[in-house]
Amino acid sequence: MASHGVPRTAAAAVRSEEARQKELHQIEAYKELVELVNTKIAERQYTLEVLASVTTLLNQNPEYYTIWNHRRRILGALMQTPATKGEGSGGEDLLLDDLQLTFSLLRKYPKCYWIWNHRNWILRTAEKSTDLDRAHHLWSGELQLVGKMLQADSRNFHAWDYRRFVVAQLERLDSSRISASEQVDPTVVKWLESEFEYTTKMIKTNLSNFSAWHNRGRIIPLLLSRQGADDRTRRHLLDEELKLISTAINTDPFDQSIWYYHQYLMSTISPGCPQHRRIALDLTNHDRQKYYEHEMEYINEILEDETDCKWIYEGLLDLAASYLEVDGGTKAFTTRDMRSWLEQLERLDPLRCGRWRDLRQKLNI
Amino acid sequence: METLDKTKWDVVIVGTGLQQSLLALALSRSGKKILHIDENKYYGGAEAALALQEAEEWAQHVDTGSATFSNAAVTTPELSQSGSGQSLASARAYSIEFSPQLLYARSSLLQYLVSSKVYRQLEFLAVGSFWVYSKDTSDAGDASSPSTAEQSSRLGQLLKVPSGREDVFQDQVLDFKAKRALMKFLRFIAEYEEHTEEWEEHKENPFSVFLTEKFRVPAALQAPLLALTLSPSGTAETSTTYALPRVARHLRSIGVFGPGFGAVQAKWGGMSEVVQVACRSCAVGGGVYVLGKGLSNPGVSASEDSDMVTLRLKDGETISTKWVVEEGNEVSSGPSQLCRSITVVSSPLAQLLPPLAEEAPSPASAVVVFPSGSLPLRPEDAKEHGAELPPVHILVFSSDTGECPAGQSILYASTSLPGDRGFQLLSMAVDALLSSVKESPSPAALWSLRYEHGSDSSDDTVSQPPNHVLRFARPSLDLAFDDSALDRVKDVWQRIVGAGTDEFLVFEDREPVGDEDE
Repeated sequence: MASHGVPRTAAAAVRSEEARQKELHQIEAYKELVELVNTKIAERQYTLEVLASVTTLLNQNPEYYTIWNHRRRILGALMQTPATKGEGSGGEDLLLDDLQLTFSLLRKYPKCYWIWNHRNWILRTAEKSTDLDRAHHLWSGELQLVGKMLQADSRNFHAWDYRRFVVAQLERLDSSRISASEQVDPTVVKWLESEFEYTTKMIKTNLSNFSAWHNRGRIIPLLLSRQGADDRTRRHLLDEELKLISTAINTDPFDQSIWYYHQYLMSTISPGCPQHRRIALDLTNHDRQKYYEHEMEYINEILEDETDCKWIYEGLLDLAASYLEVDGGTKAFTTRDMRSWLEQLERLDPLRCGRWRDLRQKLNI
Repeated sequence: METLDKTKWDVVIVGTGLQQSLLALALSRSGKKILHIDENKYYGGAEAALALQEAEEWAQHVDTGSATFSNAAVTTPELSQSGSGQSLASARAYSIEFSPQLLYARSSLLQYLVSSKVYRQLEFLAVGSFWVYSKDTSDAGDASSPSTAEQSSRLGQLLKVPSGREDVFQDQVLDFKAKRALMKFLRFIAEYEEHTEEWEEHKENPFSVFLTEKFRVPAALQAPLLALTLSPSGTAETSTTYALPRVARHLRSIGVFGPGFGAVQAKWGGMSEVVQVACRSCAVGGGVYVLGKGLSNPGVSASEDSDMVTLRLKDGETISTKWVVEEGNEVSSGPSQLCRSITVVSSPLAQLLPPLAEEAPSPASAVVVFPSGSLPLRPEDAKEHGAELPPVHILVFSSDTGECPAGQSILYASTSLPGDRGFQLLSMAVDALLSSVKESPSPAALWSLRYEHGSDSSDDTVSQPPNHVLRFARPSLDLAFDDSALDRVKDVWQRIVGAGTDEFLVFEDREPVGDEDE
């Protein structure tokens, strides 16, 4: 097991003179290395030797992004020089080595933009000089890596972003095997479906996974459109998602990620939602009214057990506002209801009193 | 081996139970001359694990020997009865424990195993789901598809206990109101120490009353929450003060080592394996180990040297030592007596050990609780004990624990109801558990052992031990390891090593080891 919850004994607070000297030497050595690399690059010495220096430097400081740029220059140059022995796979070996290097760096620095970026470059470059199968293999490997990173930290947004990118590449490669004339691309749908499943898995592991909910919201309209889903299928998905989120809200009304997704779903129902972002395409204002009423009903019930959760009052007010947009009358609730929810917000979140004042005006209560 | 007669020691430790062995570990770098003896031919004392043959022999001799165990009997159903087609493997393929225990993630024992570096010799496995038996649980019955069965919180008459928010979220049985009540309680328990005003008035009330009045927890959910306390007492006798810290410990431990589980156990015999590792360390540090040697009674007498004490061993040998450490008769805490049974079952009982969470380790065990009143009561019981019999706890160990061969599993059952009636209750529980697991062929018992553990603490002339003799109170019979054992070990260790700068159970590696990364 990696961690045992054991507090590591803190390093001695008092640094001996020896330690200080050692550190000063390290700083000197680092500065010399930077000097060296920059000089060599300026002289355009794109050799294996300089590459090794760059590696040492990046291992010490992967955030120094200019050095990554230098590295790519060196690699580019090296790959162009004819291989000294064997087939021209020397280039790919160099790239594969870099995949190894960045892999171990990623484990230490999972949130460093430049490492993710470099891997991206490696794979795109490797793809240019190899066949479709090999390319697919490389990108699949990448997806596995991202999966592992997300396992280690399911809320690392770098990883989520990169995941979307990698999936897009795999989609692209898969599609290129299929005739472009097909309306409904089964491989793309397959990818979107499996990514959708992946977000379900992540949410079940941790409801507070903002990135997973976000990704889910991005996938849904795409999936529906690629599937060529009909109105019934769309409506069914919408209802299923609403059911899911209502279970989540009922389980933990204090969690913000859950409310975020609820807002997203409400936004797809709203009449102002752009066509390409809608889930159900055939909603009438009457339908919308029914949805808003249903939401308000179960959220109101939660107030029986939880009176101090500000998200509930905010949620109710948002729904009330939406309801008013699609219906003149206020059959589902009264102005007095809205005032009392607002008062609760003012009580529970006094720091945002300005915002609640604004809301009061906007809602005309 | 040469005789021990007339030898001189710094410390003689009597018995290789867990406490004594941890002391031996603590002293393993002290440079003291240590003799560690045990009258049994095996290590571990009451925390030992034995092969089937050894267990059978032990059962035969139990009433003549120890004060700790009594009333033992082995049953081997005839082959024809167990239509499972399975039979017992060789006796050495089993390693059954006398006192199986769960080790919660934040237990100080784990921290000490790490700081003393012996953790490397141990492999820990995850303890999985907790289940509660209820005769009211309507049978999920229908042939559910495998995927829903996986996530199902129901298995025959057993209900899985939700162990956190995500479990509550996925549960198909609880309605919204029940989920909310449960979550409200979970939020409370996370910081219950800071909200004493919420439970102060209910301190001595039964926990179930507190749950109903304060959180409106529906009756159906009370048994699962009580189950998390692992209380040996009936529902009416389990107080809020007792229950709260235990439920908190359970819930706060979940996720510490990985998603979905909060307790672990050592592979290859649980605490008996910890004993082995601890004694081995002491031996490496120069300690001398002799099995099959006991103290005669009375064993301790004064010696001419006022710094030392003379010990008389059962074979007549006399040794002298500065310190004697032994286990006394005083019970430390928890129940003083349990009826136990150990059953080898012809099935891996995989349905009781569903995967815990995405990317979590496979659980190697499960806990099944039969709350008070859940097993059919006979009219005689109702008159004697009021309505309540104590609960039964069954620890289900898969072959992953190394304690039985693949394809089989072990049920460790215990209850605080004494005597034959306790054994009957255990038997009913085991039967109920096996019938809840619907498999074909039906799981059957291949071998079983039952015994009583602990003694009536009625005879408690806790005499003051003579000088130079340090006594451990008997370890708790709690199903979860009780950290106070470590406090006792530390106290004794401190007496022996005196004042100094050494830290308890903190060692450097004896040899440089490779990178800490795994």
